[in-house]
Parts: sequence; C-alpha cells; structure tokens
Amino acid sequence: MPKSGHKGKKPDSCALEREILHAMHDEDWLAPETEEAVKRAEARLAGEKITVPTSFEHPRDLLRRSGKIRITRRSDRNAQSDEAREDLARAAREGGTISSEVEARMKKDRDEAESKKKR
Amino acid sequence: MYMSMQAEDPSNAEEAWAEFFYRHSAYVLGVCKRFQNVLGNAGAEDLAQETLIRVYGKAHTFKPLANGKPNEARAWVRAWLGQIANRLFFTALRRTPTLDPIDDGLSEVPAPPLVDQDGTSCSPIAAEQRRLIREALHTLTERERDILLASFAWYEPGVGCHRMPSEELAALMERFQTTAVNIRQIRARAFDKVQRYIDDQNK
Repeated sequence: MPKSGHKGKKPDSCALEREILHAMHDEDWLAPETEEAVKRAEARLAGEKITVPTSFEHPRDLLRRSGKIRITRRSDRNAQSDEAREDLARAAREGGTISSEVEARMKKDRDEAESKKKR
Repeated sequence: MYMSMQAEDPSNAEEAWAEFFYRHSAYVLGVCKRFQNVLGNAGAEDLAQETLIRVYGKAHTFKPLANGKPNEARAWVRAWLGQIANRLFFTALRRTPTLDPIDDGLSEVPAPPLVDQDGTSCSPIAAEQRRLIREALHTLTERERDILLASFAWYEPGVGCHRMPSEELAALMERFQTTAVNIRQIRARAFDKVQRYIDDQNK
C-alpha cells in the first residue's frame, strides 16, 4: 500500500469513507457485486443499446493477446520489454508470425540495450 | 467447469470461455460503462475486455451456486464478474500494481461490501446514515463524484483512503485536465460536502 498521508485521521473519517464506499455500491456507481444489484443492472441495461466493439467479435483472439491488454498506459519500460520477450517466445512456440507492433518494440528494446552498452 | 480444465483440455477450456464471453460480454460492457467518466470510452471497453479475460485464468477459483435456478446462477456469475471489474478498475488507476489484483486479495484493492447492499442487515441507525450518504452523493458535481469514486483506488479496509500519491495520479490528471493538488482538493471538497450534508440533516 502507499504511505498513508492521513496521519492523525479521525476515526470518524474512516467510518464515513467505509460508508461512502457502501453507498457508492448502493447507488450503482460501481459494478454490481450482489445478485440484487446484478438484477437491477440487467433491468437497466435491457432498455439500453450497447454497442459491442469489433474487438469483441473474436474472443479467442482476445484471449491469445491477453498478455498485451492494458487498461491504462504503463510507463514501466521493463514490463514492456518482458512483454515483448513473452510475445516472441509465444510466437516461436506456436510457429506464428510476429506482429509489426511487437517487432518495433523489440527493435526499440534492442537499440536501447545497445546504446546502454556503448555508454 | 470446462473453463477450469485449461491444463487437461485447453481446447475445450477455450471453447467454454468463448461461450461464456458471448453470453456475458454485453452485460460486462454495459456495467463497465459506469467507469467511462474516469477511464474514458476506450478505457471502459478495455476494462470489460480485461474482466472477461481474467475469468479464464481465474475459473478455478469460482464457486458455482448450488441448486440455483438459471436466473439466479446467472446473477451469481455476474456478481463475481462485478467483483473482478471493480478490482481491476481501482487497480488500473494506480500506476504500477505490483501484484495481480485478483490473487492479491484485500491488501491492494478495496474490499467488497461488508453488508448487504440493500441495507437490510444494517441497524436502523446505520441504514438511516447510509440513506443520508446516498442523498449526499447526489449533491456532488459530476467531477467531484468521479474523483471521489476514483480516490477509493487508495482505500484500505480498516484504515480508510490513503493520500493519493502525485506520481500515481497521471491518468486522473490527464482525464480531468488538472493538477494532482487540485484533484486532492476536489476530493477533499467532495468528502466535506458529504459530511456537511449529514451534519445538517442530523441537526
């Protein structure tokens, strides 16, 4: 956990935060975690038109690419390098082709490693 | 069941997952749209996608509902999906989650609700308090609401919300086009508004 910046925080505040979190669930600000909340969500969604993105049409492809999906950008370069290595290993194992995106990332990693060596 | 047999029968496991995906993807996408204000449209879609993908890896941890009717069984599965989505949502807001949010249990992500969300298991005083909090949440501006919600990414059960670290606020700063200091101020204002509303109603 990050360092707590709330030293001396009132116990009342902690209790209120806990209650706010509950209230957020009650108000459906978060994804439903109980059967009751699921039923409410289903009823609400029944009246809505949900456009499913094209990427959802081929779930198996998503699964294969799953290691690459990120919800937010990560600036951690090491993680990206690991990812590229993993992609390469996977492609080698499956005899598949390496995407241009992976190839570019690998080239970048290689260049960076070489420039580090030179230094 | 097939989905959890990835080692023994990967082909069937994948097929079972694909079927699961088709059955629940629109629903998951629909509920993940709740996070659109904070994550953006693409971020909400990514969250839905990632939630469904996590199911494949975590199928062995799912406890099916015993003797449930089909509707109840579906709601049970979707409640589980909701837990995964919420955990991923909060984890996504933090810069570099060091551990898998699903394996990591409660130390890195907010706990699921401790009591029934319909409030039936609360004492009358707690239920009244919760009603007031729900009303108070409606007095917040959209920005206050979104930032207050996002701040629970740094919530630790039993401790409360930790201070949002500036270095982890990049996504929110970009989303709300403001500074880390301002995000913390908006969060504090939202919290005070809720507190004041309750105090006023209790006078």
